[in-house]
Amino acid sequence: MQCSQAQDKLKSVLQSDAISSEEQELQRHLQHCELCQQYCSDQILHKKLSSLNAPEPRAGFADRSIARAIEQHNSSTTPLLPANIWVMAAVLVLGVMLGVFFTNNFSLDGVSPAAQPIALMVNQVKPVNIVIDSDTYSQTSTITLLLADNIAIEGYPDTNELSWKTELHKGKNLLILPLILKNRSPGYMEISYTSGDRTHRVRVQVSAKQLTQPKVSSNA
Amino acid sequence: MKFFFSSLRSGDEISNQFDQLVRPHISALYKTAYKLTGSAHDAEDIIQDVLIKLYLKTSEILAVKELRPWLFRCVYNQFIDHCRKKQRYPSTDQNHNELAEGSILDRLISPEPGPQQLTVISEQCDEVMAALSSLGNEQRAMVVLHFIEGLTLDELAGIFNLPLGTVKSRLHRIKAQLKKYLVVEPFLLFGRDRNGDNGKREQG
Repeated sequence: MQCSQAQDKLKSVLQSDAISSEEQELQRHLQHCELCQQYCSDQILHKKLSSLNAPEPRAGFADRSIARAIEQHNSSTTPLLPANIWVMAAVLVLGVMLGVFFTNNFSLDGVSPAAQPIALMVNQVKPVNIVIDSDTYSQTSTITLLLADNIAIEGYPDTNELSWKTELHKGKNLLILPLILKNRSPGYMEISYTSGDRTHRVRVQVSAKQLTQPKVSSNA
Repeated sequence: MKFFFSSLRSGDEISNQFDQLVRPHISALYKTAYKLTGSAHDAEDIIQDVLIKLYLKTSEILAVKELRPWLFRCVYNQFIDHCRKKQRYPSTDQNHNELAEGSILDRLISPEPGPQQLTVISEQCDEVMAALSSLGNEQRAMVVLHFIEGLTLDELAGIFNLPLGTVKSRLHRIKAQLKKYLVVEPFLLFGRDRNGDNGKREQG
């Protein structure tokens, strides 16, 4: 019996409960063929592993967990910054850390003291999420963006100040800015929005992301 | 400036989009977390924490080309985080642990098979869970994601942040270790159980 025949036969033997006379021949082949022994043990292992089932989540789990995720976010006036942020994957850390929140609770023309610094890879575009939490609807709110010389918005490489009018909904409004850090020097971005006679401003320090060695057993 | 206007969305829109993006995956992610932990309670905790962290990343999820492995990576990261927390703050709630572990087999068993088949399946699941528990957290995750969930080696390399060759060599070692628990010598297969159970159950 050739190995290819033996392995084809093994597949059907492992899938079937019936024992045929051909199996004696197969058994003899296996006794002296290490390659097919290896193949057979791989097949058995895969079969056993694939037999591992898991139950469906409890009824309503998806509804509850989605609602809780949204609720946690909406009830917070500060960024979602878990204490154990360091265990997130690099891309996740960036995404979470780049959450910058405005709220109408800021003092007039005040600069938020709680703005979290962010770290970017040099010369790589990274979307920065900015959440503006407005307690009123505003049809014409002015958003102004000031950038350090070494920071740019994708598509606007030489522009350090941008200003535009937009509509703000009551509640959380998400603004996504594709930022690029041009070199490893520290920089900043300052975002402000004006609604009526009120201006809210936040200044965020931007630095180059430190390159780290891949961790063998971490989730980074 | 139209680019920026188009990116500005209300909270309700974000919530709806988040719901649409993650809901189809929750069941699969939960099952994976369950296979990693062997506990319904821990699996729920992990998925809940993942969703909370993902909410702010709704826009990023939209840009992800291969969402399934990306989400598995999130679950894996949270699983590791969960394990570290458990090591730092071991649970003193014995009842809870016993309840979770005692129910593993009941929950692993599909309701469809008949009584005899049910016994065999439950024993297999028990055996596989025991074998998985002999592995480290990362090794267990590799087994679950690759051999059970079917992620490719490339996807595994991305999730574990390892070179492809390292992933292959680790899987090779893991397989060898699992075979000690789960596989008999192939030439002993005949006349015994087809699942390689080394005569634990007599052939019918």
